[in-house]
Amino acid sequence: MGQYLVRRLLLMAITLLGVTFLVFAILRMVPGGVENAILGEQATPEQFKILRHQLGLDAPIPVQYVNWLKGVLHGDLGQSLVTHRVISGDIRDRLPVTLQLGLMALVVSILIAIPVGLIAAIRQDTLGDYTARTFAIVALSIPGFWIGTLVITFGARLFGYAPPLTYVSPWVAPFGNLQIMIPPALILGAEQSGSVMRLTRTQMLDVLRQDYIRTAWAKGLRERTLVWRHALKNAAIPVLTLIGIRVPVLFGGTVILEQIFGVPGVGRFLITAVNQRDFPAIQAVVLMIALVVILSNLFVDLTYSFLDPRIKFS
Amino acid sequence: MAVTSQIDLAEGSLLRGQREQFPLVRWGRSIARFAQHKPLAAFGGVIVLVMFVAALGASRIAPYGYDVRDYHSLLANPSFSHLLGTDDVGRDIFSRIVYGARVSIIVGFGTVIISTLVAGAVGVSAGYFGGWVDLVAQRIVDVWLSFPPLLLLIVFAAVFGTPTTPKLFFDHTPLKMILDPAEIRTAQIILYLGLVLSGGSSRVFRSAVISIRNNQYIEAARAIGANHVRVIFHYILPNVMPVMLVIATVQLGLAILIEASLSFLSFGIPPPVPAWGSMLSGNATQFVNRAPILAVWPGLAISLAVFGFNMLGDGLRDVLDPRLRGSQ
Repeated sequence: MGQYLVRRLLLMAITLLGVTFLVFAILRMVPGGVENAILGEQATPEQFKILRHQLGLDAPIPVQYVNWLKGVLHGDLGQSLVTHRVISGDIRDRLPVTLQLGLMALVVSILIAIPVGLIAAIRQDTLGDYTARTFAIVALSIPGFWIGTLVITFGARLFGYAPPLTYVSPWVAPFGNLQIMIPPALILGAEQSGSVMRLTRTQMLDVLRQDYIRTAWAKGLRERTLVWRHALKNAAIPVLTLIGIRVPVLFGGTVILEQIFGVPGVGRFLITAVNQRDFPAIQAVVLMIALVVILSNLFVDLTYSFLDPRIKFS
Repeated sequence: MAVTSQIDLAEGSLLRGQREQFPLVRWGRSIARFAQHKPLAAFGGVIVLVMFVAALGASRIAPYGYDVRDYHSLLANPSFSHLLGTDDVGRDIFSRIVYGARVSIIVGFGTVIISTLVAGAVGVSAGYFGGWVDLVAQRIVDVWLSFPPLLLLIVFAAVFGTPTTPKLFFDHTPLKMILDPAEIRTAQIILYLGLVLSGGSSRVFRSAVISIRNNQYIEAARAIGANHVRVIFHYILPNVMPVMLVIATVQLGLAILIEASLSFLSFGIPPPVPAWGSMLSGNATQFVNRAPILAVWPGLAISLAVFGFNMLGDGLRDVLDPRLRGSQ
């Protein structure tokens, strides 16, 4: 187990390094230079020089990278060009919001998808199965932002519904917080449930074909015991991994829904930064999101290896 | 006796069914069989066909141009002259949706072509050569997969900005062309989205190649002196094709969805070119009270299109390679 852990952590470190490299490189690829994009072409060379020095762009590129990396490791993500606030503070306020939204959406999608997937697998090729599969594809075909827009437009028209304007943290006012978070979480969860349902169904089908299930049937076990005790446990492990793979997609979804419902998360922060061409902020947010994705992958892998003893020895 | 007659029957139908007919008739029969076994997938195929027709024949089908403004009917309800109504500057919604299909198809197909090429190159090299090529490729794909696709695309959009004036490309070459902002933007989106989506599928191709590589005929081919290039193109690629086709169809739906999300956030194709996503964000939310129906049509179009591609992809996957069921 220890060896696996060490190997996994090493892999994660390499991936993290690659991620920082990519983030750094993308933001340096701005055509004409970052300072050009920020100040525009009318600025004088003097202003350019000042900005370059401010952003640390006058050092050679490897030095820039190392400086930035050092800063990141110390928790200093730079300063926003627009608000001049420290970015890490902003991110510290907003990341939990996005994480909460993502987690709630994940829970919703699991609650919907796993029972449906199970039933579809058990009653394979019946009307229930086909209906479930079609619904799954419908779910993942309908854009979340469309449903969100419909909820807001028709909600306002028919019910006088409007998403609350100010955000309250769950520790301060749980009910108020839920009022803000539930609609986007439901929409995102429903959208994601399509894929999770199909994956659950496939894994369940695979497990149900196994010989040990046949043996259990032959032994005369009731269907419920069979499904719960034997099939589900074995099917759960790959489903866990597959849920882990959904995390990046979940982040993409939260970005849009935050924008629609006015949730002050990291996604909205990113979009504002992009619109204002606030490059240090963009850099920081993308890095943080990638970090969360990598950590969640690590968590899923470790849980997987914990649940399935065969993995440790591979 | 019975056995012989059964073989005769089989051979006879083989001869009848496959050797005597023109390829077109054979294809027609295959499609008919596909529709019979998988009606839902065929329905998806019909939707895809409709989209294609709308995209290619947009100028014939759409009753108005996409930026033709009828100032006498602003935010009109659906009527005979404007099938789905008009928006706030009098543009016919139905025409804009038809033209929007063109954008979605172009972006979708362009993206899938690039994604398949890149993922194919990476996946096949990693799977076939193994060793350090595989290691390096896997690490790169790991890094790539750590980013949510939409996020990466938004960042690309930020970095490379929206062009505002037509620009000259490939100067001093035979490919010299002037592209207007909408075209530049479309090309950018196709390129970046293709790159972004290639990460996930490269893994699938890699495992397919690995499983093919372990077959004995590959070993035999190498033994008789086939070089790597020949083995890859003559033996491996034809067997990976079904996988590629399935992944491509599913990614088409995904590409359309992501492009719509991008347009919704106003990072997509600049106006006045209609894209279903931007149609949802612009007029729909501003004129909530007067014409809420504006929010319905573009979203419906997106959903139908993605649904069609997904159903088709699913059906193709079930037919071509049942082992792939549920892998995506």
